[in-house]
Amino acid sequence: MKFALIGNPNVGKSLIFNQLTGIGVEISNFPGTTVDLCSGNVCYKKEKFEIVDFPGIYSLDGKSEEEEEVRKYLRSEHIDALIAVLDATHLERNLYLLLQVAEYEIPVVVVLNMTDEAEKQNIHIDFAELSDILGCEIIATTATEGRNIGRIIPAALQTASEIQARVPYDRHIEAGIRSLVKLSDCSRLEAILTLEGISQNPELTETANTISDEIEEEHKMSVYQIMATNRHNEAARISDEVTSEKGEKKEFRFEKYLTRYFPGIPILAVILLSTLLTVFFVGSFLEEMIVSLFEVYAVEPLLSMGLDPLVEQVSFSFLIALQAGLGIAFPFVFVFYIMVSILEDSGYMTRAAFLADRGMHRIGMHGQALIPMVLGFGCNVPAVMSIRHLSKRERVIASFLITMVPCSARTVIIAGIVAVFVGVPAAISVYLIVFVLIALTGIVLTKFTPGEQYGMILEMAPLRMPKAKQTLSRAWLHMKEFIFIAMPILLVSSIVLGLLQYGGIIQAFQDVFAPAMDAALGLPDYASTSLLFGILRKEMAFETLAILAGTADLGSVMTGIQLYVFAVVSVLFVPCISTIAVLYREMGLKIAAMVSAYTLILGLIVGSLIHFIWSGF
Amino acid sequence: MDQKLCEDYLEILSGDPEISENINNKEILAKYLCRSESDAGNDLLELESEGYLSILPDGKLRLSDEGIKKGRCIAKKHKVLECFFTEMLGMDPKTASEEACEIEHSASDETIRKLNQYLNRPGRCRGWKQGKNQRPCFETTAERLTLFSEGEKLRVVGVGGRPGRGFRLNDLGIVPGETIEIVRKLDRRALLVKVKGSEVALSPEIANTVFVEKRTD
Repeated sequence: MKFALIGNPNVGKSLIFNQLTGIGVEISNFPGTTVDLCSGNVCYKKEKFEIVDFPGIYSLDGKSEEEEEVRKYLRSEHIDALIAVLDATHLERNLYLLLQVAEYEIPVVVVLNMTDEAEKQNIHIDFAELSDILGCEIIATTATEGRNIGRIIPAALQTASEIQARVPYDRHIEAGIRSLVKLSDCSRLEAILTLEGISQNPELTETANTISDEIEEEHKMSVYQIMATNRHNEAARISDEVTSEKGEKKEFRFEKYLTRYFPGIPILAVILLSTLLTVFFVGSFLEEMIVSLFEVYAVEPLLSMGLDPLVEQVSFSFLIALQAGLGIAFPFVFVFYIMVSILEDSGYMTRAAFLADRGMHRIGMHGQALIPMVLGFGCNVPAVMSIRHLSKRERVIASFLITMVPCSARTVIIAGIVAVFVGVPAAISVYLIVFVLIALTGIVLTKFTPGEQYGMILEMAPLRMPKAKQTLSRAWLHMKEFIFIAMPILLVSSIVLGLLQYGGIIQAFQDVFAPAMDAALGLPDYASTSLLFGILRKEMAFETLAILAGTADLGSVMTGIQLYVFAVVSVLFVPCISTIAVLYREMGLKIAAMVSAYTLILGLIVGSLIHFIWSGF
Repeated sequence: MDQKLCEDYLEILSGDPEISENINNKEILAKYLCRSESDAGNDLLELESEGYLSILPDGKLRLSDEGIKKGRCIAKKHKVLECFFTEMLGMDPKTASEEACEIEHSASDETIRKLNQYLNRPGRCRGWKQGKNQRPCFETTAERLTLFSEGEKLRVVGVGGRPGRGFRLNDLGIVPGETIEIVRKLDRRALLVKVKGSEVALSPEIANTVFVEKRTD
């Protein structure tokens, strides 16, 4: 038996899925975070059932990737019952989707979620009447408290039934549907989809085009618009019938301040800055602990064991990668994700996206691309994975810009080298250089990237108090992505590099590039090796530098400007190998290669510019 | 600058917001109006001094609300005249458009209103296809959503733009007949609108495809 959860974004669908299955799917307060279809199993009375969690969608007829995906799935796979999740506080808008679902003639159980919130807002819904109109069972739930969630599966097994309510379309449309059904012997659903212009059947489409042309002439509106209007009207009618005492929605007191430039922008800046500072301070404290624990209990014992050199090299590389991974992952990335999850859960992120829309337009994207960019500060890997909902053109631009965002590993370099040995203002200037380069790259890319720019159409998530459990579980999910994608690549490549070093290839590489490094960047020969290790994992550039220089007090072996140049180059220079891998997966070989080449060249050019300008004085 | 030329500029610029965004706008405008590029440059400066638009440092243009209003007004006259010529008199579209281009500058608002009323009788005005920057000519008081200010309650008249683009807007409830309210308007015309109880953020280029009119009640 197979069930599927369907509903608008932000209705608590993923939360219900989590409670039903117990496995983690991302629960988000940012519309459209679940793009892949997640599925899990639920046991009821010793029987196992599969549940699919569809991405949150507003409609089944839209042209976005998620909507097409769900439509395809509904039409091609067999589903025993759909669990339609509705938001009781936005019943009318949610019924719009439900009325479309009705046309697919699949048994449905309607879950009316957020009933507690609706009561608070003085919205009273007559469940029995709604159930009568729709012709199927209604379960009123409060997913945040887990209330009535246990009734869903029994209902899906026993009482799920097709929705009786149908949208009465405009008489011309109804006539069109009837003649299509008669002429081509297709189902009503097929006829509706064809009239809307989203069917794949070429023969039907041809017949439908003549009909829809006529209707469009008559109404001076596209068929899609007429049908959407009909559906909205029917949804409004049903909602009016079952809802009483519609009270005013209580606005969160600060809400109106968040979306003005002032004080919205200062608030945004303070929030982002304090997030980064918290991550940095908490992160460096934890990192020190983890790294030194590793050093004392793993690395030193290994080296004192006196193993065969090859075995020692391999296991040493493995441990170093593990140490670096854990040293960055937990302290920096995890803390960062907790902060971001709080922002996402509270609903603030959508406001930030609205405010950032103008700035993002300048660099070729729109407000909705803000989230991936912010995620990039934690780790570029999940940031690149979250650009799927953007258009093709924006994805290309975002790929370049995200890989330039200083992730937490690069923050470690800037802090560990520049802030410590050169000074804090110098460290801030590195950030400024990177931000200016990101902006310039964006401005240039907007001119040359093919494709059309789409604007933002983003529903504001309701502001609410983030709940600790939900926030942690979401941060953990972000983290899981990081661990399962980034860590294996990190371990494998660390061992490969270790073997290369064992075989003397690193030394050969260093011999070839050292003169060039010295001439262009003014850096000592071992710096080139460190940069190479930086591709593996950004902060390893820093650690390798310390090892090769033979001292942790880098200030005693390199001049301030050398350290500065080294930091700038390694921050810009080629994204880490995990980022390249995920770019390849998401965007293809061409984009991954272009991004790598661009950042490599950019890093070297900026580095040598700083070197030459400085030595010119 | 003579009134006719000024109106022509504003008509073109308000009709296609993408020209203002294009840094080669001078070239495009010169081509449209059969003028030299340097003349077009001077004309733009003059329009700026008259307060119809501002030239941004990066070469892009931004029409003032007054500029947009004037441009739209002329565009509306053009549309109504063109519609009358093609639909009622059966002239070919090209001649109709050229003719409308001349008459639009001298026709009074009253004439246009009457003509529009005449065209609006059922079954009269045909030939409107949803397409880029095309507006149905039956609209009388409809304007682009971006022209209205914060707090205004508006009725949606139509959603234009390229076919398919309006799908998400339609699905969120921005369909003809629906009442929406502008909750917030930022200076580059990015909007936060309230529709069906939820707030939706729109980029300026999206908001530009939504045509609305003020609610009378």
